[in-house]
Amino acid sequence: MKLNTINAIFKFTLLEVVRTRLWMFAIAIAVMVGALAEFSASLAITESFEYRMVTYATIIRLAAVFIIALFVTSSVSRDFDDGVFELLVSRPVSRATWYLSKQLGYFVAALLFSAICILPMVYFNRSHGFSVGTFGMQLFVWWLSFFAELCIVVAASVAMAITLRNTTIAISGVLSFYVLSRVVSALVLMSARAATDIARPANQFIANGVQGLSYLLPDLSRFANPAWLISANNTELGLGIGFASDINYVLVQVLIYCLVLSSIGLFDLYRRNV
Amino acid sequence: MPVWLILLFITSLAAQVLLQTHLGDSQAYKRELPAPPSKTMTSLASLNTPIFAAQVMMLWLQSFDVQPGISLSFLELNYGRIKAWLSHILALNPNGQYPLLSAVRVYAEVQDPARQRMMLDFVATEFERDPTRRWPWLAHAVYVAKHRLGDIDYALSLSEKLAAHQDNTAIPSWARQMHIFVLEDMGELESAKILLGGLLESGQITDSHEQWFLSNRLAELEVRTQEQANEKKQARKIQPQKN
Repeated sequence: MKLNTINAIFKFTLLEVVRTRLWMFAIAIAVMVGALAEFSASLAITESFEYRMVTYATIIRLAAVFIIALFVTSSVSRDFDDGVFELLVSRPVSRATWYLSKQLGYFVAALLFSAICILPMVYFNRSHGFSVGTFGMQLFVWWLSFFAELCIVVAASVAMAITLRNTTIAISGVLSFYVLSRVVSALVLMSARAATDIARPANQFIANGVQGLSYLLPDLSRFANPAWLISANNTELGLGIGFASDINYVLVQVLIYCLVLSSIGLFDLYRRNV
Repeated sequence: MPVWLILLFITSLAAQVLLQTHLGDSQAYKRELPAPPSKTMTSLASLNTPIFAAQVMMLWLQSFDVQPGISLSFLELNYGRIKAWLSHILALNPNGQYPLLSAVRVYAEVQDPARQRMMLDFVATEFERDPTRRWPWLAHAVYVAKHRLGDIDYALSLSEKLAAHQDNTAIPSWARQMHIFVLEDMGELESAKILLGGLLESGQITDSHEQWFLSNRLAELEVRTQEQANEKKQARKIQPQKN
């Protein structure tokens, strides 16, 4: 792998981010979701700060995932449809180099996108009594976890765009993967408490199937928990009980799952006839 | 641009506005408050973000009395269901104070003692789960029971729940001592005096201002108890003379 090649493809990916005006879209989305959060806070007769923060954090998280999945999937598909990928691999550029450089560019796009998304939260805190230090730490941890979630979405989008070879199907696949990863822990709990006899083979099969699925998917419900932003009176750095285990989980999980998804995408990329 | 296209746009837009103006209003009808969903279903529907689900549900419940075309009074709402929703919301976000505030300051304002009592009972039950955070709502419940409901015995039973947490310093001493003042209002001066004296002697009151205030209150109580005893003596003296 040549660093120059990686650098060039990485820069082209970032150029695409700039030219498609993704950052402007990020600002527009942040403003719109911020207005929605203000609206929810205006309805609340108490805990308005908490309502503003949680509404914003929850909705911006979903919006960011949707936009990043759309952007990455369509960008990768475009590279294949326009013959850019074929052109590059006809040169002395390995498929792994292309994959790594593209993914790196998308990670940086996700970093910038998430950084823009947290700006309204800084503004919200101005009118609240939280100390800058405590809130800054809470916000940093939440942002780190939010960015980690976007990294998994980026890796899933690249892998699915390459494997499924159709933008609509790939986007549907990424969003299904995301929703399933968000609810898998609740599904495990539900399957363990079947309405009829749990010893029945059909119920056991479903319960084991869901349990198996939970081993394969990341538990995204532990990422970017909005409660971290509003717990001012808890122990560890004011970030809530169970926070340490969650943030450690997030950091290890993002590393492992990006590797898993990259290996899936690369496997299909090397298998593909170009 | 062809003229027919501009005309088509204007006509279709006008038709849309016309449709919304004449047929857009939904018919006003009273909807019943449904039962809350299970905790697992709520987790699934909110993609495992229970705190957000709790907030959305709270705002929805809060505005349920204002339905399209009609505004319901609290008397028309099913308070059993309201209590179930508030419990559900509090279970989803145990750190939230909103459901307790709504119970004691919004729904307990209804002019129906049974419904008021239901809300105060809800606050008393939830207080036991987290006394450190939830004491202000029980303290307010004592006030509602005493002044709005006019049921001083009920106010005393609520204030005794606060008094049961004498060792919890997170609850301010005035809240823990509320039962003394309720007893005083009931005319139970002797009981109030004993409790207040016991509290002062226990050494739990460390603030000098508070010690001074409570000591004054104890002195007042002693004077009033003495006056009450004198009145009783005089009444006994007058009665034989009449006989």
